[in-house]
Amino acid sequence: MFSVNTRLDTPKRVVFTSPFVPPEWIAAHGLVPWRKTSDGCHNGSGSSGAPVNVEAGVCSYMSSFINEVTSDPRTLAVILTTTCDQMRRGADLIRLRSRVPCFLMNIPSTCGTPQADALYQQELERLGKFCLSLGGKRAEPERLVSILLEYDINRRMVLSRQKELSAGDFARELQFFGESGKVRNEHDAGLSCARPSTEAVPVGFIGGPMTARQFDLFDVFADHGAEIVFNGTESGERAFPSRFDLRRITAEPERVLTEAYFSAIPDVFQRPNDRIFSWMEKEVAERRVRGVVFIRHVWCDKWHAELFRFRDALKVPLLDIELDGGRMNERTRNRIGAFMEGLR
Amino acid sequence: MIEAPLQISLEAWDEAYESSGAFIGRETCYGGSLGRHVKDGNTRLKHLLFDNSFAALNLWNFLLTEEDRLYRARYEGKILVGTMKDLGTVPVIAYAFPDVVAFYPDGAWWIPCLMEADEELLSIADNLGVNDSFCPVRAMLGAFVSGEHFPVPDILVCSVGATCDDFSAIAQRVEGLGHPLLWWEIPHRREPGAREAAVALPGGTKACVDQVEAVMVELDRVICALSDKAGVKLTDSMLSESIVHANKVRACLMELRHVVFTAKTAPLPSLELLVAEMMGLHYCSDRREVLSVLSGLLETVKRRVDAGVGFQGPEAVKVFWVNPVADLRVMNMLEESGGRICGTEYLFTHALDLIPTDLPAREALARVALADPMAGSALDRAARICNDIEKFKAEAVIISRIPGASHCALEGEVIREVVAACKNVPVLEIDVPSMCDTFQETLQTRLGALVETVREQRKGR
Ligand code: SF4
Ligand code: SF4
Repeated sequence: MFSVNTRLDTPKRVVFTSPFVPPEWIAAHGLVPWRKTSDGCHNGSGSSGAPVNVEAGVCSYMSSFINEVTSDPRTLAVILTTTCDQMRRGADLIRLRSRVPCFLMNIPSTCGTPQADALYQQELERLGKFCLSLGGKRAEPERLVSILLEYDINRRMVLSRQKELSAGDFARELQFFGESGKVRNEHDAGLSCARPSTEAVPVGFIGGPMTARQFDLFDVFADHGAEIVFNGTESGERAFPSRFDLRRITAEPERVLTEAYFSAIPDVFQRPNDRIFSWMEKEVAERRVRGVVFIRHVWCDKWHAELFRFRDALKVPLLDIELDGGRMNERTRNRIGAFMEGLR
Repeated sequence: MIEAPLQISLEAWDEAYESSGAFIGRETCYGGSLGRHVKDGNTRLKHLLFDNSFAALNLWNFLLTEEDRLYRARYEGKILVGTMKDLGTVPVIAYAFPDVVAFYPDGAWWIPCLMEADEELLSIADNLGVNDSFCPVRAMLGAFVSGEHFPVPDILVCSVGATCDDFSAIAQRVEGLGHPLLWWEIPHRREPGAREAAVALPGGTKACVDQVEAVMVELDRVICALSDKAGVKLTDSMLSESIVHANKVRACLMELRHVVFTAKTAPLPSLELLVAEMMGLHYCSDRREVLSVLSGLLETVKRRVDAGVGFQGPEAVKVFWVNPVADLRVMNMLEESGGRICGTEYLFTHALDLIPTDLPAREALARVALADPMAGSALDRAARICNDIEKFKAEAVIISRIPGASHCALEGEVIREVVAACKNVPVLEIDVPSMCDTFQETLQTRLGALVETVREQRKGR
C-alpha cells in the first residue's frame, strides 16, 4: 500500500539526490522514488527552523536539498548517502530537527574490491527493509524485472534525446526522468529543439550536482556559441547506471544493481578516483571537445581538490565555475564569454 | 618539598634550564633546552607558556624530536609506515612487526602553527590548488612535496569512507603526486537495527556485527600489505602483544586525564594535556619511550595533587573542550581567562579508550576503528560529550572550529544543540585558525565572558 498524502492526493515520495540510490529498488518495494534535483532556492542560511540553518561553511547544494525535502509535505522519507561528509552530517541535522524519516546509505569510497561490493549490496538490503518500514511491500522478482526493464528503456530513450535538445532542455529532461522515471513527449515538455549551429564549439561539463536554477548556465554557454556535448556533472549522463544484466536479475537482484550502479558510475569521491578521469578523457577525445567546464560548489572539498588534476589531465582549456547557491553573477557571465572567445 | 607549578615562557624555561643543575643525570637522548627547537623553525614556541616541570620539558622535547627519530629509523633500515587518518588503529598493527615504525603524516596539521604559517609549505599547497578553504591538513601535501618535515614513508595506508572530506581529498592528491596509497574502508557507523546482531564498541557506542566484520576484512588487507613490506608474517600473538602495549599507553593517558579533570586545582595546563593525549595516536614514533614520558608526567601530576598544589585556585572555571585547536596558543588563553580543562574530545577518543583484550585481536581493532567519533553520527559524539560533562562536572563547553574543516560547521551545530538541550551549561563556539594573533584580544574577551557567565551562575546556585 502506498502511503497517501490525502491533501495532495498523490503518493508520497522517497526522495534522494545521489545517483548511487537505485530508484528501481524503491519502486520495486512499492514506493515512489524521486531523484530530486535541488531547486536551489532554499539554502538555509537565515531560514530559522530549517534543518540546515548554518550561516557559513556548508555546501549550498546539500543545504538547499535538505531544506527543500524536509519542508515538502509530499516527502515520505529522504535518503542521503555517505559520499561526502556534508551529506553525512546533513543526515544528523535531519534526525535532530525534522520528523521526516531519513535513511543514510553507506556508499563505500573504495571500489573494485569484493568487500566494497558486499558493503553496497548490504546497503541495498537495508534500504529494502527501510522501504518496508515505510509501508512498502516485498520486491517480488517479476515486479522488479518489469520495473528495471521500464527504467532501462526510458533511460535509453531520454539519453537519446541529447542530440535533439539544447543542453539546458536536456538537463531538464534528465531531471524529469530522475523525478518520475518517465520520459515526456516533446509536446508535454514544451521543449525547444533549437540545435546549435554547425560552427558551435564542442564543450563538456564535469563536476558536482547542479540545482535546477543553475541549468541556466547551459543557455549562457549556448548563447556564446557552445554546444554542450557531454554533461559529466552529477546532474548529467555521467551519473547514469550501466545497463542491467537482466539474465541474472531474478537470481541475484542486489548484485545486478550493484554492478550497474556502484561499479559503473564514476565519481570523484571514489578512492582511488581514476575512473572519473578515464571517463572524462574518453568523452573529451571521442567528442572532440575543445573546452571543459568544471562545476563545483563552495565548500565542496572533494571536487575542489581535484580541479588541479582535471586541469592537468586535460589537453584542452578548463573553466572553473564555483557556485554558491545564488543566481549567476555578472562576473561569471563575463568569464564564460572570455572562455568561449578563447576557444574559437 | 615540591616546586610550585607555574606556566612559564620559553625564555624563562631556557634560563632555568641553563642555570639549574637539576636536569643533569635525568636527561634523555632527546633532552635539552626547549629553545633549541626554535632554531629548527618552531617559532610558535616563543609565544607559548609551558608547564615548569621536568616531566613537561621531557614531553615537549619528545614531541619536537620526532622528525629526528624518523630519520634515524630510516638510517637504521627500519620500515616506515605512513598511516593516515584512522588515528590510532593502524599503528597498533604496524608496531606489532619488528623493525617497523609508524607515524602520521597528518601531524603536519600543526606545522602552520608551530612554524608560524610556514609560508613555503602552505604556498606549495596553494600552488597545487589546495588553498585555505581546506583545513590545516593541507600542510601535509606541502610536506610531501618539500620532503622536509618527515621522510617519505615506505608504505602509505589511509582510511577512507566515513572520514572528513578534507583529508580524503588531500590524501587523493598525495596519491596523485605519485605516492601510492593503500586505501581501506571504514564504513559510516550506524545504529544497529532492532533485530540486527550488535556489539559494544570501546567508548560506549554500538555497531552491528556486519560492519565489524567488514572492517576486519579491510584490516586484513592492511596486515597483508604490511607483512609483505616487512617480510614477516604477523601472528595473532604478535598483534595481541602490541595491543597490550597500546593499552598500557592508553591506561596511562586515561589515568592522567582523570586525575587532571578531577583534581581540586588544575595540576596540569590544558596545553600539555593536549600534547600528551596526542601521543596515544602513534607513540610519537617510539612506543617504548612514550610510556616513560607519559608515566613521568602522570607521576608529576599525582605528586602535585597529593601536595594540593596546582595552577590557579579552585575557583577556576571547569571547561570541556571539543575539537583540537589549530593554534596551540589558544590553550594557554584558557588558563589566562580563568578557565581550566575538565574534559576533552579532540576527535580521537577511540585512541584513548582501552582496546578489548577478551576478543580476537583483529576483531578488537576493528571495533576500535569503528569507534572513531568521526566514523559515526555527530549525535553519538554529542552523547559522549554530555556523559563526560557529567562525569567531570564541567561547567562550560568550548567548541573550537577548525578553519576550512568540512565537518565543523554542521557537527558544531549538532553538538551545541544537544549539549544545550541536555546540560545546563553555556556553550561557546570559536574559530581557531593556525595563527590567532590578530584577533587574540577578541578571543580572550569571548573566553573571559564565558568564564564570567559561569561565575555568575555559580552565585545563583
Ligand atoms: S557538491 Fe560536494 S559537498 Fe555538496 S553535496 Fe555534493 S559532494 Fe557533497
Ligand atoms: S581537522 Fe577535521 S577536516 Fe581537517 S583533517 Fe582533521 S578531521 Fe579532517
